[in-house]
Amino acid sequence: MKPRSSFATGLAIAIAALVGCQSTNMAPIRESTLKLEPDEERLWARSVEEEGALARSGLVADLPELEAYLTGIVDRLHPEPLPGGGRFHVRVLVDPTLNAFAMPNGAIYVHTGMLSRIENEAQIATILAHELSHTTHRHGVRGMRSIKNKTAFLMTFTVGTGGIGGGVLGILGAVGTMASVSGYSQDLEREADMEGFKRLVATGYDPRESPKVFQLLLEEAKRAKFKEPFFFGSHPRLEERIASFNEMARKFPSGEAAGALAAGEYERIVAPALPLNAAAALHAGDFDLALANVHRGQARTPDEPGLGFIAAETYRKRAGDGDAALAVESYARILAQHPGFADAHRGLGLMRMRAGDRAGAADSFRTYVKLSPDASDRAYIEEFIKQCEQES
Amino acid sequence: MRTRILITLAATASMLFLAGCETWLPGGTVATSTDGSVSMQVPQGWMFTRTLAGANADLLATKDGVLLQALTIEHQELKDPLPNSKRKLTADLSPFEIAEAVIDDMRANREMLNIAVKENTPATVGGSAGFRILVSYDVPQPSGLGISQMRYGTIVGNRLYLVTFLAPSRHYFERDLSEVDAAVSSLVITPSKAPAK
Repeated sequence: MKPRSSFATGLAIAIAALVGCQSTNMAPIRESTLKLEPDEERLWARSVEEEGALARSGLVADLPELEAYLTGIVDRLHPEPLPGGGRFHVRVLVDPTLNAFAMPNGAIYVHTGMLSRIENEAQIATILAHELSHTTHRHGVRGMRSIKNKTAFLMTFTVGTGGIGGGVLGILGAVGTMASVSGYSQDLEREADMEGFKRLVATGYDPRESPKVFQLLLEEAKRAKFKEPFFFGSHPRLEERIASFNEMARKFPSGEAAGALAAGEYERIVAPALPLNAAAALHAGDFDLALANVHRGQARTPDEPGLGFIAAETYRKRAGDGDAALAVESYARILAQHPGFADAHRGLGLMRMRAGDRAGAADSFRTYVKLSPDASDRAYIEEFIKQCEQES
Repeated sequence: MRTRILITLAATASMLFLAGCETWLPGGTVATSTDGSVSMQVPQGWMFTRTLAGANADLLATKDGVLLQALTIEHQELKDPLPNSKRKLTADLSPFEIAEAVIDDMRANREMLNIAVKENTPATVGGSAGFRILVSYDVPQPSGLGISQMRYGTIVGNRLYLVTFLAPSRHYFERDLSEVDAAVSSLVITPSKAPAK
Protein backbone atom coordinates (compact mmCIF):
# COMPACT_ATOMS: atom_id res chain seq x y z
CA MET A 1 0.00 0.00 0.00
CA LYS A 2 1.37 3.36 -0.93
CA PRO A 3 0.01 6.42 0.77
CA ARG A 4 -1.13 8.95 -1.76
CA SER A 5 0.82 12.11 -2.32
CA SER A 6 -2.15 14.17 -1.15
CA PHE A 7 -2.01 12.27 2.12
CA ALA A 8 1.71 13.03 2.38
CA THR A 9 1.10 16.67 1.66
CA GLY A 10 -1.52 16.77 4.37
CA LEU A 11 0.90 15.22 6.80
CA ALA A 12 3.58 17.70 5.86
CA ILE A 13 1.23 20.57 6.54
CA ALA A 14 0.08 19.01 9.80
CA ILE A 15 3.61 18.49 11.01
CA ALA A 16 4.75 21.89 9.87
CA ALA A 17 1.95 23.33 11.96
CA LEU A 18 3.07 21.31 14.93
CA VAL A 19 6.73 22.27 15.00
CA GLY A 20 8.78 25.40 14.68
CA CYS A 21 12.24 25.86 13.21
CA GLN A 22 14.27 24.76 16.21
CA SER A 23 17.29 22.72 17.19
CA THR A 24 17.29 18.96 16.91
CA ASN A 25 19.91 18.74 19.66
CA MET A 26 17.95 17.85 22.74
CA ALA A 27 18.92 16.21 25.99
CA PRO A 28 17.21 12.89 26.67
CA ILE A 29 14.44 12.68 29.22
CA ARG A 30 16.18 11.79 32.47
CA GLU A 31 13.69 12.96 35.04
CA SER A 32 10.01 13.70 35.35
CA THR A 33 10.63 17.37 36.09
CA LEU A 34 11.94 18.01 32.58
CA LYS A 35 9.88 20.73 30.92
CA LEU A 36 8.74 19.92 27.43
CA GLU A 37 9.30 22.51 24.76
CA PRO A 38 6.17 24.11 23.27
CA ASP A 39 6.21 22.18 20.01
CA GLU A 40 6.89 19.01 21.96
CA GLU A 41 3.90 19.69 24.18
CA ARG A 42 1.77 19.95 21.06
CA LEU A 43 3.14 16.62 19.85
CA TRP A 44 2.26 15.00 23.17
CA ALA A 45 -1.23 16.43 23.02
CA ARG A 46 -1.58 15.16 19.49
CA SER A 47 -0.38 11.75 20.62
CA VAL A 48 -3.18 11.60 23.16
CA GLU A 49 -5.70 12.38 20.42
CA GLU A 50 -4.30 9.65 18.22
CA GLU A 51 -4.39 7.21 21.11
CA GLY A 52 -8.09 8.00 21.37
CA ALA A 53 -8.59 7.32 17.67
CA LEU A 54 -6.86 3.97 18.00
CA ALA A 55 -8.94 3.10 21.05
CA ARG A 56 -12.12 3.75 19.04
CA SER A 57 -10.88 1.83 16.01
CA GLY A 58 -11.74 -1.60 17.35
CA LEU A 59 -8.16 -2.67 16.66
CA VAL A 60 -6.92 -2.49 20.26
CA ALA A 61 -7.03 -5.99 21.71
CA ASP A 62 -8.96 -6.51 24.91
CA LEU A 63 -6.16 -8.43 26.59
CA PRO A 64 -5.53 -6.76 29.96
CA GLU A 65 -3.17 -9.44 31.26
CA LEU A 66 -0.99 -9.22 28.17
CA GLU A 67 -0.99 -5.42 28.30
CA ALA A 68 -0.07 -5.47 31.98
CA TYR A 69 2.71 -7.95 31.27
CA LEU A 70 4.18 -5.85 28.47
CA THR A 71 3.81 -2.65 30.49
CA GLY A 72 5.54 -4.43 33.37
CA ILE A 73 8.50 -5.23 31.13
CA VAL A 74 8.69 -1.55 30.14
CA ASP A 75 8.48 -0.52 33.80
CA ARG A 76 11.49 -2.68 34.55
CA LEU A 77 13.36 -1.35 31.54
CA HIS A 78 12.49 2.24 32.45
CA PRO A 79 11.38 2.61 36.08
CA GLU A 80 11.51 6.41 36.05
CA PRO A 81 8.34 8.43 35.45
CA LEU A 82 8.01 10.55 32.34
CA PRO A 83 7.67 14.34 32.34
CA GLY A 84 4.45 15.28 34.05
CA GLY A 85 4.56 12.12 36.13
CA GLY A 86 3.07 9.81 33.50
CA ARG A 87 4.43 6.36 32.71
CA PHE A 88 4.92 4.25 29.65
CA HIS A 89 1.93 2.10 28.77
CA VAL A 90 1.69 -0.65 26.20
CA ARG A 91 -1.31 -1.50 24.03
CA VAL A 92 -1.74 -4.45 21.67
CA LEU A 93 -3.14 -3.88 18.19
CA VAL A 94 -4.80 -6.75 16.33
CA ASP A 95 -2.85 -6.54 13.12
CA PRO A 96 -0.88 -9.35 11.49
CA THR A 97 1.85 -7.05 10.20
CA LEU A 98 5.26 -6.95 11.83
CA ASN A 99 5.29 -3.73 13.73
CA ALA A 100 5.65 -1.90 17.00
CA PHE A 101 5.83 1.83 17.58
CA ALA A 102 5.99 4.42 20.35
CA MET A 103 4.19 7.73 20.49
CA PRO A 104 6.19 10.70 21.84
CA ASN A 105 4.14 10.66 25.07
CA GLY A 106 5.10 7.11 26.03
CA ALA A 107 2.24 5.13 24.52
CA ILE A 108 3.73 2.02 22.95
CA TYR A 109 1.78 -0.14 20.50
CA VAL A 110 2.76 -3.69 19.59
CA HIS A 111 1.01 -5.57 16.79
CA THR A 112 -0.20 -9.11 17.40
CA GLY A 113 1.77 -9.89 14.24
CA MET A 114 4.95 -9.00 16.12
CA LEU A 115 4.00 -10.81 19.32
CA SER A 116 3.11 -13.96 17.40
CA ARG A 117 6.59 -14.21 15.88
CA ILE A 118 8.59 -13.46 19.03
CA GLU A 119 9.85 -16.44 21.03
CA ASN A 120 10.49 -15.17 24.54
CA GLU A 121 10.43 -12.24 26.93
CA ALA A 122 14.01 -11.22 26.23
CA GLN A 123 13.13 -10.79 22.58
CA ILE A 124 10.02 -8.71 23.14
CA ALA A 125 12.02 -6.69 25.68
CA THR A 126 14.44 -5.90 22.84
CA ILE A 127 11.58 -4.43 20.84
CA LEU A 128 10.12 -2.54 23.80
CA ALA A 129 13.51 -1.17 24.87
CA HIS A 130 14.08 0.12 21.35
CA GLU A 131 10.65 1.72 21.21
CA LEU A 132 10.80 3.38 24.62
CA SER A 133 14.16 4.87 23.63
CA HIS A 134 12.39 6.76 20.85
CA THR A 135 10.37 8.44 23.58
CA THR A 136 13.16 8.99 26.14
CA HIS A 137 15.41 10.44 23.46
CA ARG A 138 12.61 12.63 22.14
CA HIS A 139 12.84 11.29 18.63
CA GLY A 140 9.33 12.45 17.80
CA VAL A 141 10.05 16.14 18.11
CA ARG A 142 13.67 15.81 16.95
CA GLY A 143 12.61 13.88 13.90
CA MET A 144 9.87 16.28 13.01
CA ARG A 145 12.12 19.29 13.46
CA SER A 146 14.81 17.80 11.28
CA ILE A 147 12.53 16.88 8.43
CA LYS A 148 10.59 20.09 8.41
CA ASN A 149 11.03 21.95 5.14
CA LYS A 150 13.02 19.13 3.60
CA THR A 151 11.67 18.04 0.27
CA ALA A 152 12.75 14.52 1.14
CA PHE A 153 10.05 14.55 3.78
CA LEU A 154 7.35 14.08 1.21
CA MET A 155 9.21 11.12 -0.19
CA THR A 156 9.32 9.52 3.24
CA PHE A 157 5.62 8.94 3.08
CA THR A 158 5.51 7.59 -0.44
CA VAL A 159 7.85 4.70 0.28
CA GLY A 160 6.02 1.38 0.12
CA THR A 161 5.22 0.13 3.55
CA GLY A 162 4.59 -3.48 2.66
CA GLY A 163 2.75 -5.83 4.94
CA ILE A 164 -0.72 -7.15 4.85
CA GLY A 165 -3.85 -5.18 4.70
CA GLY A 166 -2.46 -1.69 4.88
CA GLY A 167 -1.73 -1.75 8.60
CA VAL A 168 -3.03 1.06 10.73
CA LEU A 169 -2.28 3.78 8.21
CA GLY A 170 -5.86 4.84 7.92
CA ILE A 171 -6.30 5.44 11.63
CA LEU A 172 -3.09 7.14 12.62
CA GLY A 173 -2.54 10.83 12.33
CA ALA A 174 0.70 12.65 11.65
CA VAL A 175 2.46 11.63 14.85
CA GLY A 176 1.55 7.98 14.76
CA THR A 177 2.31 7.71 11.07
CA MET A 178 5.81 8.92 11.64
CA ALA A 179 6.33 6.57 14.58
CA SER A 180 4.66 3.60 12.96
CA VAL A 181 5.13 3.79 9.25
CA SER A 182 7.95 5.96 8.06
CA GLY A 183 10.22 5.48 11.05
CA TYR A 184 12.95 7.84 12.05
CA SER A 185 16.25 8.77 10.47
CA GLN A 186 19.14 6.35 10.39
CA ASP A 187 20.86 8.16 13.25
CA LEU A 188 17.80 8.15 15.48
CA GLU A 189 17.10 4.48 14.80
CA ARG A 190 20.70 3.63 15.67
CA GLU A 191 20.46 5.68 18.83
CA ALA A 192 17.27 3.81 19.79
CA ASP A 193 19.00 0.50 19.09
CA MET A 194 21.99 1.37 21.27
CA GLU A 195 20.10 3.01 24.12
CA GLY A 196 17.55 0.25 24.13
CA PHE A 197 20.24 -2.38 24.19
CA LYS A 198 21.92 -0.76 27.19
CA ARG A 199 18.66 -0.80 29.11
CA LEU A 200 18.02 -4.39 28.09
CA VAL A 201 21.36 -5.54 29.47
CA ALA A 202 21.05 -3.38 32.59
CA THR A 203 17.67 -4.97 33.31
CA GLY A 204 19.14 -8.45 33.11
CA TYR A 205 17.84 -9.78 29.82
CA ASP A 206 20.04 -12.02 27.74
CA PRO A 207 21.66 -9.77 25.11
CA ARG A 208 22.18 -12.71 22.78
CA GLU A 209 18.45 -12.75 22.12
CA SER A 210 18.49 -9.31 20.49
CA PRO A 211 20.04 -10.28 17.15
CA LYS A 212 17.74 -13.31 17.09
CA VAL A 213 14.75 -10.98 17.04
CA PHE A 214 15.91 -9.38 13.85
CA GLN A 215 16.90 -12.72 12.36
CA LEU A 216 13.37 -14.01 13.04
CA LEU A 217 11.88 -10.95 11.47
CA LEU A 218 14.17 -11.20 8.47
CA GLU A 219 13.06 -14.78 7.89
CA GLU A 220 9.44 -13.75 8.21
CA ALA A 221 9.96 -10.87 5.82
CA LYS A 222 11.40 -13.27 3.25
CA ARG A 223 8.56 -15.73 3.73
CA ALA A 224 5.88 -13.12 3.30
CA LYS A 225 7.88 -11.35 0.57
CA PHE A 226 7.58 -8.02 2.33
CA LYS A 227 9.43 -5.25 0.60
CA GLU A 228 9.77 -3.12 3.71
CA PRO A 229 8.51 -4.68 6.94
CA PHE A 230 7.23 -1.92 9.14
CA PHE A 231 9.42 -2.33 12.16
CA PHE A 232 12.67 -2.28 10.25
CA GLY A 233 11.48 -0.50 7.16
CA SER A 234 13.59 2.51 8.06
CA HIS A 235 17.35 2.75 8.11
CA PRO A 236 19.59 1.13 9.11
CA ARG A 237 18.36 -1.82 7.19
CA LEU A 238 17.74 -5.16 8.77
CA GLU A 239 20.98 -6.92 7.89
CA GLU A 240 22.96 -4.00 9.28
CA ARG A 241 20.97 -4.16 12.47
CA ILE A 242 21.60 -7.87 12.90
CA ALA A 243 25.33 -7.25 12.52
CA SER A 244 25.16 -4.30 14.86
CA PHE A 245 23.29 -6.24 17.57
CA ASN A 246 25.67 -9.18 17.23
CA GLU A 247 28.57 -6.80 17.79
CA MET A 248 26.90 -5.26 20.84
CA ALA A 249 25.99 -8.68 22.23
CA ARG A 250 29.62 -9.77 22.02
CA LYS A 251 30.54 -6.89 24.32
CA PHE A 252 27.95 -8.01 26.85
CA PRO A 253 28.34 -11.79 27.04
CA SER A 254 26.72 -12.20 30.46
CA GLY A 255 22.93 -12.47 30.35
CA GLU A 256 22.79 -14.94 33.20
CA ALA A 257 20.27 -13.07 35.30
CA ALA A 258 17.29 -15.07 36.45
CA GLY A 259 14.40 -14.80 34.06
CA ALA A 260 16.62 -13.50 31.30
CA LEU A 261 14.68 -15.42 28.68
CA ALA A 262 11.38 -16.19 30.41
CA ALA A 263 10.23 -18.18 27.39
CA GLY A 264 7.61 -20.21 29.26
CA GLU A 265 6.00 -17.19 30.85
CA TYR A 266 5.97 -15.36 27.51
CA GLU A 267 4.33 -18.32 25.80
CA ARG A 268 1.60 -18.45 28.41
CA ILE A 269 0.89 -14.73 28.40
CA VAL A 270 0.92 -14.28 24.63
CA ALA A 271 -1.37 -17.29 24.03
CA PRO A 272 -4.63 -15.25 23.92
CA ALA A 273 -3.16 -13.04 21.18
CA LEU A 274 -2.49 -15.99 18.89
CA PRO A 275 -6.09 -16.73 17.83
CA LEU A 276 -6.68 -13.01 17.27
CA ASN A 277 -3.66 -12.79 15.02
CA ALA A 278 -4.47 -16.07 13.32
CA ALA A 279 -7.97 -14.80 12.49
CA ALA A 280 -6.56 -11.52 11.19
CA ALA A 281 -4.04 -13.42 9.08
CA LEU A 282 -6.82 -15.63 7.74
CA HIS A 283 -8.85 -12.58 6.73
CA ALA A 284 -5.75 -11.15 5.13
CA GLY A 285 -5.25 -14.30 3.08
CA ASP A 286 -1.99 -15.25 4.80
CA PHE A 287 -2.92 -18.88 5.36
CA ASP A 288 0.59 -19.99 6.36
CA LEU A 289 0.79 -17.40 9.13
CA ALA A 290 -2.69 -18.30 10.35
CA LEU A 291 -1.73 -21.96 10.61
CA ALA A 292 1.63 -21.19 12.22
CA ASN A 293 -0.18 -19.22 14.95
CA VAL A 294 -2.75 -21.97 15.41
CA HIS A 295 -0.09 -24.63 15.77
CA ARG A 296 1.85 -22.53 18.24
CA GLY A 297 -1.28 -22.03 20.32
CA GLN A 298 -2.27 -25.67 20.08
CA ALA A 299 1.10 -26.71 21.45
CA ARG A 300 -0.15 -25.29 24.77
CA THR A 301 -3.89 -25.87 24.44
CA PRO A 302 -4.50 -28.57 21.81
CA ASP A 303 -8.26 -28.70 22.34
CA GLU A 304 -9.00 -24.98 22.36
CA PRO A 305 -11.99 -24.79 19.96
CA GLY A 306 -11.28 -21.27 18.71
CA LEU A 307 -7.85 -22.28 17.43
CA GLY A 308 -9.21 -25.49 15.94
CA PHE A 309 -11.92 -23.56 14.13
CA ILE A 310 -9.43 -21.11 12.60
CA ALA A 311 -7.35 -24.08 11.44
CA ALA A 312 -10.41 -25.73 9.88
CA GLU A 313 -11.49 -22.51 8.17
CA THR A 314 -7.97 -21.96 6.88
CA TYR A 315 -7.79 -25.43 5.37
CA ARG A 316 -11.24 -25.00 3.83
CA LYS A 317 -10.42 -21.63 2.28
CA ARG A 318 -6.91 -22.55 1.18
CA ALA A 319 -8.27 -25.64 -0.58
CA GLY A 320 -4.88 -27.04 -1.45
CA ASP A 321 -3.83 -30.68 -1.78
CA GLY A 322 -4.93 -32.58 1.31
CA ASP A 323 -6.64 -29.55 2.84
CA ALA A 324 -10.15 -31.00 2.49
CA ALA A 325 -9.34 -33.93 4.74
CA LEU A 326 -7.61 -31.68 7.25
CA ALA A 327 -10.58 -29.32 7.30
CA VAL A 328 -13.09 -32.13 7.86
CA GLU A 329 -10.91 -33.63 10.57
CA SER A 330 -10.56 -30.26 12.31
CA TYR A 331 -14.30 -29.52 12.23
CA ALA A 332 -15.10 -33.02 13.44
CA ARG A 333 -12.64 -32.74 16.33
CA ILE A 334 -14.21 -29.48 17.49
CA LEU A 335 -17.73 -30.88 17.27
CA ALA A 336 -16.81 -34.03 19.16
CA GLN A 337 -16.05 -31.85 22.19
CA HIS A 338 -18.25 -28.84 21.49
CA PRO A 339 -21.39 -30.01 19.66
CA GLY A 340 -22.96 -26.56 20.06
CA PHE A 341 -20.26 -24.83 17.99
CA ALA A 342 -22.58 -23.57 15.24
CA ASP A 343 -19.99 -22.28 12.78
CA ALA A 344 -18.18 -25.61 12.83
CA HIS A 345 -21.41 -27.31 11.68
CA ARG A 346 -21.64 -24.85 8.79
CA GLY A 347 -18.00 -25.47 7.82
CA LEU A 348 -18.47 -29.23 7.98
CA GLY A 349 -21.62 -28.88 5.87
CA LEU A 350 -19.73 -26.93 3.23
CA MET A 351 -16.99 -29.56 3.12
CA ARG A 352 -19.53 -32.38 2.89
CA MET A 353 -21.35 -30.59 0.09
CA ARG A 354 -18.06 -30.11 -1.73
CA ALA A 355 -17.38 -33.84 -1.38
CA GLY A 356 -20.84 -34.78 -2.72
CA ASP A 357 -22.20 -35.99 0.62
CA ARG A 358 -25.54 -34.23 0.21
CA ALA A 359 -27.35 -35.95 3.06
CA GLY A 360 -24.52 -35.28 5.48
CA ALA A 361 -24.25 -31.68 4.32
CA ALA A 362 -27.97 -31.07 4.78
CA ASP A 363 -27.76 -32.52 8.26
CA SER A 364 -24.88 -30.20 9.21
CA PHE A 365 -26.60 -27.17 7.72
CA ARG A 366 -29.86 -27.89 9.54
CA THR A 367 -27.97 -28.07 12.83
CA TYR A 368 -26.23 -24.79 12.02
CA VAL A 369 -29.51 -22.98 11.35
CA LYS A 370 -31.03 -24.44 14.49
CA LEU A 371 -28.08 -23.31 16.61
CA SER A 372 -27.69 -19.96 14.90
CA PRO A 373 -31.15 -18.83 13.71
CA ASP A 374 -30.09 -15.19 13.26
CA ALA A 375 -26.96 -15.90 11.22
CA SER A 376 -26.27 -13.31 8.52
CA ASP A 377 -25.82 -16.08 5.95
CA ARG A 378 -28.96 -18.02 6.87
CA ALA A 379 -30.55 -17.47 3.44
CA TYR A 380 -27.54 -19.11 1.79
CA ILE A 381 -27.55 -22.05 4.12
CA GLU A 382 -31.28 -22.63 3.68
CA GLU A 383 -30.78 -22.63 -0.06
CA PHE A 384 -27.99 -25.18 0.36
CA ILE A 385 -30.31 -27.37 2.42
CA LYS A 386 -32.91 -27.30 -0.35
CA GLN A 387 -30.27 -28.14 -2.97
CA CYS A 388 -28.96 -31.03 -0.91
CA GLU A 389 -32.44 -32.41 -0.21
CA GLN A 390 -33.34 -32.28 -3.89
CA GLU A 391 -30.15 -33.98 -4.99
CA SER A 392 -29.85 -36.61 -2.27
CA MET B 1 -8.48 2.61 0.53
CA ARG B 2 -12.03 2.82 -0.69
CA THR B 3 -12.68 5.79 1.53
CA ARG B 4 -9.63 7.57 0.19
CA ILE B 5 -10.66 6.86 -3.37
CA LEU B 6 -14.11 8.18 -2.63
CA ILE B 7 -12.74 11.35 -1.09
CA THR B 8 -10.67 11.91 -4.22
CA LEU B 9 -13.69 11.16 -6.35
CA ALA B 10 -15.81 13.46 -4.24
CA ALA B 11 -13.41 16.37 -4.66
CA THR B 12 -13.21 15.83 -8.40
CA ALA B 13 -16.91 15.30 -8.79
CA SER B 14 -17.76 18.38 -6.75
CA MET B 15 -15.51 20.52 -8.92
CA LEU B 16 -17.11 19.18 -12.04
CA PHE B 17 -20.58 19.73 -10.64
CA LEU B 18 -19.68 23.33 -9.95
CA ALA B 19 -18.17 23.75 -13.38
CA GLY B 20 -21.26 22.32 -15.03
CA CYS B 21 -19.11 19.75 -16.79
CA GLU B 22 -20.86 17.34 -19.12
CA THR B 23 -19.02 14.37 -17.59
CA TRP B 24 -22.01 13.81 -15.33
CA LEU B 25 -25.19 12.74 -17.02
CA PRO B 26 -28.74 12.66 -15.63
CA GLY B 27 -30.26 9.35 -14.53
CA GLY B 28 -33.62 7.94 -15.53
CA THR B 29 -31.89 6.18 -18.39
CA VAL B 30 -29.77 3.13 -19.12
CA ALA B 31 -26.10 3.87 -18.50
CA THR B 32 -23.53 1.79 -20.34
CA SER B 33 -19.86 1.60 -19.43
CA THR B 34 -17.34 2.93 -21.93
CA ASP B 35 -16.29 -0.58 -22.98
CA GLY B 36 -19.91 -1.66 -23.33
CA SER B 37 -19.59 -4.58 -20.94
CA VAL B 38 -21.90 -3.23 -18.24
CA SER B 39 -25.20 -1.41 -18.40
CA MET B 40 -27.73 -0.46 -15.75
CA GLN B 41 -30.88 1.62 -15.41
CA VAL B 42 -29.83 4.61 -13.31
CA PRO B 43 -32.68 5.82 -11.09
CA GLN B 44 -34.52 9.00 -11.92
CA GLY B 45 -33.08 11.94 -10.01
CA TRP B 46 -29.59 10.44 -9.85
CA MET B 47 -26.51 11.42 -11.87
CA PHE B 48 -23.92 9.08 -13.32
CA THR B 49 -20.52 9.18 -14.93
CA ARG B 50 -18.48 6.73 -16.94
CA THR B 51 -15.24 8.66 -17.00
CA LEU B 52 -14.60 9.49 -13.34
CA ALA B 53 -15.09 6.06 -11.97
CA GLY B 54 -11.45 4.95 -11.94
CA ALA B 55 -9.25 2.39 -13.66
CA ASN B 56 -11.32 -0.70 -12.94
CA ALA B 57 -14.63 1.01 -12.40
CA ASP B 58 -17.33 1.02 -15.02
CA LEU B 59 -19.94 3.36 -13.65
CA LEU B 60 -20.36 5.76 -10.76
CA ALA B 61 -23.76 7.15 -9.78
CA THR B 62 -25.01 9.38 -7.01
CA LYS B 63 -28.14 11.22 -6.01
CA ASP B 64 -26.96 14.00 -3.70
CA GLY B 65 -23.21 13.92 -4.37
CA VAL B 66 -20.67 11.20 -3.71
CA LEU B 67 -19.96 12.49 -0.22
CA LEU B 68 -23.47 11.42 0.70
CA GLN B 69 -23.95 8.30 -1.35
CA ALA B 70 -22.12 6.49 -4.12
CA LEU B 71 -23.09 3.56 -6.29
CA THR B 72 -20.19 2.08 -8.22
CA ILE B 73 -19.85 -0.83 -10.58
CA GLU B 74 -16.32 -2.09 -10.91
CA HIS B 75 -14.58 -5.18 -12.16
CA GLN B 76 -11.37 -6.98 -11.41
CA GLU B 77 -9.53 -9.56 -13.48
CA LEU B 78 -9.31 -12.87 -11.63
CA LYS B 79 -5.58 -12.99 -12.21
CA ASP B 80 -5.26 -9.95 -9.94
CA PRO B 81 -5.40 -10.39 -6.15
CA LEU B 82 -8.06 -8.74 -4.05
CA PRO B 83 -6.89 -5.29 -2.94
CA ASN B 84 -6.52 -5.89 0.80
CA SER B 85 -6.21 -9.59 1.42
CA LYS B 86 -4.11 -10.22 -1.70
CA ARG B 87 -6.09 -13.41 -2.20
CA LYS B 88 -6.76 -14.54 -5.77
CA LEU B 89 -10.15 -15.87 -6.76
CA THR B 90 -10.91 -18.53 -9.33
CA ALA B 91 -13.86 -18.96 -11.65
CA ASP B 92 -14.87 -22.26 -10.06
CA LEU B 93 -15.68 -20.71 -6.69
CA SER B 94 -19.31 -20.69 -5.62
CA PRO B 95 -21.03 -17.35 -4.94
CA PHE B 96 -20.93 -18.21 -1.23
CA GLU B 97 -17.15 -18.71 -1.38
CA ILE B 98 -16.69 -15.51 -3.36
CA ALA B 99 -18.78 -13.63 -0.81
CA GLU B 100 -16.65 -15.07 2.00
CA ALA B 101 -13.48 -13.91 0.24
CA VAL B 102 -14.91 -10.43 -0.35
CA ILE B 103 -15.92 -10.17 3.31
CA ASP B 104 -12.44 -11.27 4.39
CA ASP B 105 -11.01 -8.62 2.09
CA MET B 106 -13.18 -5.99 3.78
CA ARG B 107 -12.02 -7.20 7.19
CA ALA B 108 -8.41 -6.82 6.07
CA ASN B 109 -9.09 -3.22 5.06
CA ARG B 110 -7.95 -0.99 7.91
CA GLU B 111 -10.08 1.83 6.63
CA MET B 112 -13.19 -0.16 7.47
CA LEU B 113 -13.25 -0.25 11.26
CA ASN B 114 -15.56 -2.16 13.59
CA ILE B 115 -17.03 -3.93 10.58
CA ALA B 116 -20.24 -5.93 11.11
CA VAL B 117 -21.79 -8.21 8.50
CA LYS B 118 -25.55 -7.76 8.64
CA GLU B 119 -26.56 -9.94 5.70
CA ASN B 120 -24.93 -12.29 3.24
CA THR B 121 -27.51 -13.65 0.86
CA PRO B 122 -27.64 -15.22 -2.60
CA ALA B 123 -28.57 -12.87 -5.43
CA THR B 124 -28.74 -12.73 -9.18
CA VAL B 125 -26.29 -10.13 -10.43
CA GLY B 126 -26.28 -9.17 -14.07
CA GLY B 127 -28.02 -12.43 -14.91
CA SER B 128 -25.47 -14.59 -13.06
CA ALA B 129 -25.53 -16.29 -9.67
CA GLY B 130 -23.93 -13.99 -7.15
CA PHE B 131 -24.23 -12.55 -3.69
CA ARG B 132 -25.51 -9.54 -1.79
CA ILE B 133 -23.63 -8.45 1.31
CA LEU B 134 -24.76 -5.79 3.74
CA VAL B 135 -22.16 -4.43 6.19
CA SER B 136 -21.76 -1.50 8.52
CA TYR B 137 -18.47 0.00 9.65
CA ASP B 138 -16.79 3.16 10.89
CA VAL B 139 -14.36 5.21 8.87
CA PRO B 140 -11.07 6.29 10.49
CA GLN B 141 -10.59 9.67 12.07
CA PRO B 142 -11.29 12.50 11.97
CA SER B 143 -15.00 11.96 11.32
CA GLY B 144 -15.43 8.42 12.59
CA LEU B 145 -18.61 8.43 10.54
CA GLY B 146 -20.74 5.29 10.57
CA ILE B 147 -21.07 3.91 7.05
CA SER B 148 -23.28 1.18 5.65
CA GLN B 149 -22.36 -0.64 2.51
CA MET B 150 -24.28 -2.99 0.28
CA ARG B 151 -22.19 -4.99 -2.12
CA TYR B 152 -23.41 -7.24 -4.87
CA GLY B 153 -20.91 -9.44 -6.67
CA THR B 154 -20.53 -12.18 -9.21
CA ILE B 155 -17.91 -13.77 -11.39
CA VAL B 156 -18.56 -13.61 -15.13
CA GLY B 157 -15.89 -15.03 -17.39
CA ASN B 158 -12.52 -14.08 -15.96
CA ARG B 159 -13.78 -11.08 -14.10
CA LEU B 160 -15.15 -10.40 -10.65
CA TYR B 161 -17.86 -7.75 -10.88
CA LEU B 162 -18.76 -5.77 -7.79
CA VAL B 163 -21.63 -3.34 -7.38
CA THR B 164 -21.13 -1.28 -4.27
CA PHE B 165 -23.49 1.19 -2.67
CA LEU B 166 -22.22 3.07 0.34
CA ALA B 167 -23.69 5.91 2.33
CA PRO B 168 -23.77 7.20 5.90
CA SER B 169 -25.74 4.75 7.99
CA ARG B 170 -27.79 7.60 9.34
CA HIS B 171 -30.60 8.63 6.99
CA TYR B 172 -29.08 8.15 3.53
CA PHE B 173 -28.39 4.43 3.35
CA GLU B 174 -31.84 3.18 4.26
CA ARG B 175 -33.53 5.94 2.28
CA ASP B 176 -31.80 5.04 -0.99
CA LEU B 177 -31.34 1.29 -0.67
CA SER B 178 -34.57 0.25 -2.41
CA GLU B 179 -33.76 2.45 -5.41
CA VAL B 180 -30.31 0.91 -5.57
CA ASP B 181 -31.65 -2.64 -5.36
CA ALA B 182 -34.04 -1.84 -8.21
CA ALA B 183 -31.18 -0.42 -10.27
CA VAL B 184 -29.05 -3.51 -9.65
CA SER B 185 -31.88 -5.75 -10.80
CA SER B 186 -31.59 -4.05 -14.20
CA LEU B 187 -27.86 -4.72 -14.45
CA VAL B 188 -26.63 -6.45 -17.59
CA ILE B 189 -23.07 -7.78 -17.80
CA THR B 190 -21.67 -8.80 -21.16
CA PRO B 191 -17.94 -9.21 -20.67
CA SER B 192 -17.43 -10.33 -24.24
CA LYS B 193 -17.79 -6.68 -25.19
CA ALA B 194 -14.85 -5.76 -23.00
CA PRO B 195 -11.45 -5.50 -24.68
CA ALA B 196 -9.29 -8.56 -23.96
CA LYS B 197 -6.47 -7.97 -21.46
